[in-house]
Amino acid sequence: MVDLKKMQIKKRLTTGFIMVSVITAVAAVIGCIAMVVVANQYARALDDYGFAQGDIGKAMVAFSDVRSATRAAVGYDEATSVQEAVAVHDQKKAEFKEYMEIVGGDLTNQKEQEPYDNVMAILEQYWNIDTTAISLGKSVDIEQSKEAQKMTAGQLDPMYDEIYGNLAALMEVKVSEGNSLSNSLRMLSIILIIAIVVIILAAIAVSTKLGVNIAKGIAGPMGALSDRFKMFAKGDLGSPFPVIESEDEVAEMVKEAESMAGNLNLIIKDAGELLGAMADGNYAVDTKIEEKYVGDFSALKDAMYKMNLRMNETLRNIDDAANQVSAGSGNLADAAQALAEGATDQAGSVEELQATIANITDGVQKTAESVEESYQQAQLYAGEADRSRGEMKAMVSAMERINETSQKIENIISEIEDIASQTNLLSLNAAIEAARAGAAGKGFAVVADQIRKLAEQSAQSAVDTRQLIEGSLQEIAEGNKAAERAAASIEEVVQGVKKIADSSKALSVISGEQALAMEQAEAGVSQIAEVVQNNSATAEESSATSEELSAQAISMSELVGRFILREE
Amino acid sequence: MQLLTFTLGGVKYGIPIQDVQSIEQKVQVVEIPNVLPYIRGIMNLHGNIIPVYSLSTKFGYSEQLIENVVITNVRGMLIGFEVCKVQEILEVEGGHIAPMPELINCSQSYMKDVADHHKNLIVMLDVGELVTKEEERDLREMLEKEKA
Repeated sequence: MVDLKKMQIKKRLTTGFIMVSVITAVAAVIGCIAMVVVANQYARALDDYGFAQGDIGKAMVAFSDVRSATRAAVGYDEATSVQEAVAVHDQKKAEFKEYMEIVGGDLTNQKEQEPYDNVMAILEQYWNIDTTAISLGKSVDIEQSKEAQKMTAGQLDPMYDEIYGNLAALMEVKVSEGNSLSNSLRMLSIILIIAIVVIILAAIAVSTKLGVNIAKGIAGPMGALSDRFKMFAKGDLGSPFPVIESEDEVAEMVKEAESMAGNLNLIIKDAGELLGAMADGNYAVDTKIEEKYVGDFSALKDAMYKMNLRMNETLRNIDDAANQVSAGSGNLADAAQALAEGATDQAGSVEELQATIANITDGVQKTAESVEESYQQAQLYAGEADRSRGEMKAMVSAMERINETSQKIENIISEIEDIASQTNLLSLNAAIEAARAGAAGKGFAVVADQIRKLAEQSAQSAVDTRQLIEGSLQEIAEGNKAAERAAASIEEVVQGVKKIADSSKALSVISGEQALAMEQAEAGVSQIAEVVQNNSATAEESSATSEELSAQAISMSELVGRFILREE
Repeated sequence: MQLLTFTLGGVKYGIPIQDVQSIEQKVQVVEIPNVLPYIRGIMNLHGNIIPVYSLSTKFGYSEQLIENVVITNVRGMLIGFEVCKVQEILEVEGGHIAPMPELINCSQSYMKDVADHHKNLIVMLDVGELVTKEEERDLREMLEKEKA
């Protein structure tokens, strides 16, 4: 038998269920086999006795028909009736033989075999006599028929009775055997039902027992473990865990819980020691069980470590700062002393500065006056330059008028030229007319020629005048350009003088501002003198304060010294 | 004989004064289409419509600045010749008139003679020859058309 307690829960449950299944399956198989056996027995009983009885009955009927047909064939005188009877006889004989063969196949024991063998033994002889009787009876001869009838009555009938008796005996045997088999089968059925019921009850009993055992094996240790966990939750880390005899998952769970409780105990103790040491001012401590701080516990360890480092660092910084303050305050005292001496020197320098500034202020005022004068001068020159610019403009406009007049003269000359040209043409036409007039026109021709010459002369004069006018226009143009240049120069002069005037003005304003600024500077220097006095007093005070500070720093350094810190 | 001289393309030409009707300033010329290329158009001369003939086109000069028009009488028809500028009326002795060299005379029948006036050569134009019969017909047709 397998030991369930030594198995894992999964395997234990699987094995238990398999065992119950096997028991149920065995019960079912036994029931099935019993049913098959009973069914087979019933089928055989039906075959060997039920159907066999029918076949014997059918054979007996057929045999009776055969005898009737034989009697008919022998008894009838008419040929047709005889033939019909013979045909029926042959048919029934064949049927009988067929049934007999079936009956022979269904025989099961000697008791049945005996009457069958008797029938078969007599039957051979019966068929011989029957055949002879029919062959005789077939004829219409009365003698032969009588012979045949005698044969049937004398020989066949006793044989028939014997055969029929034997068949009846066989039937009797079959009936009695069938009844006994039926009884025995009924008994067998009852026995089988009882057996199956017993098997099912046994299977239920075994399965229940198995289930209870398995449940107990699992629930017992689990309950014990649950009770222990309740205590664990209340803070009992040290008590022992229940002893589990099985080797299943519960046992593993207990083992893990034990190890967990142990580790937790160690970690809490270690953390308590570390924090206690730090509370006492010892920051040079380290955990002894660093490997136990795994998973989420590493955060705890890191936090403690970080806190430790921070405190170390902070205290060290405070110590350093205290030292520095101590040193610094010493320096400060020296510096304050030096400052006080410097302030005294400064006061002397400031007095000298005040005198110098007063001199400068005088100088600045004089400069302002000179600048104002030069501004007035520049204004005068600017007015002068402006006037000459106006005159220059008047001259330019006069020249422009001359230019216009010259243009008009030129137009007049053009007209004169045109008139001269027309006069010339007229003189030519007059000459032509004169020529046409022949001798009468001679005098007129001379006049025409004179006119032509005059026209030529006036044209020439016009050309000369035009040249003169053009020359004068050119001169005017050049004069204009020169005037424009002069105007531009004058304009520049005017602008320059104006700029000088503006600059002088600006300079005058600046000088005024400068004078004001110098006065302010004087006031400022006076204030500086006061401040220097104050500085001197303050320096003395700060010297005293820094000495006090130095004493405070030393006492702070001593306070820090009470803590035990890590080696750097 | 007396010659009316004028310039055209830098050459001095002369026309016998009896062929000349009058000299006019260059006036507005109405250009007529579909006529011979050197017929410039028509002009109004004191109420008479007369044709204007471009000598510079006829002689093959490039475009010239025209100042005067010389009105001539060709076989009873007044024709205006465009010239650059009329110059003067000259008296030329018969001894100073020489025939044009034959080489030129052959092709240009209206340039028969050349006058020499104080070493200046003046090409003398025969206006009767200058305007051919064909041109004259053309001009008359043009005038007819214009009148109608």
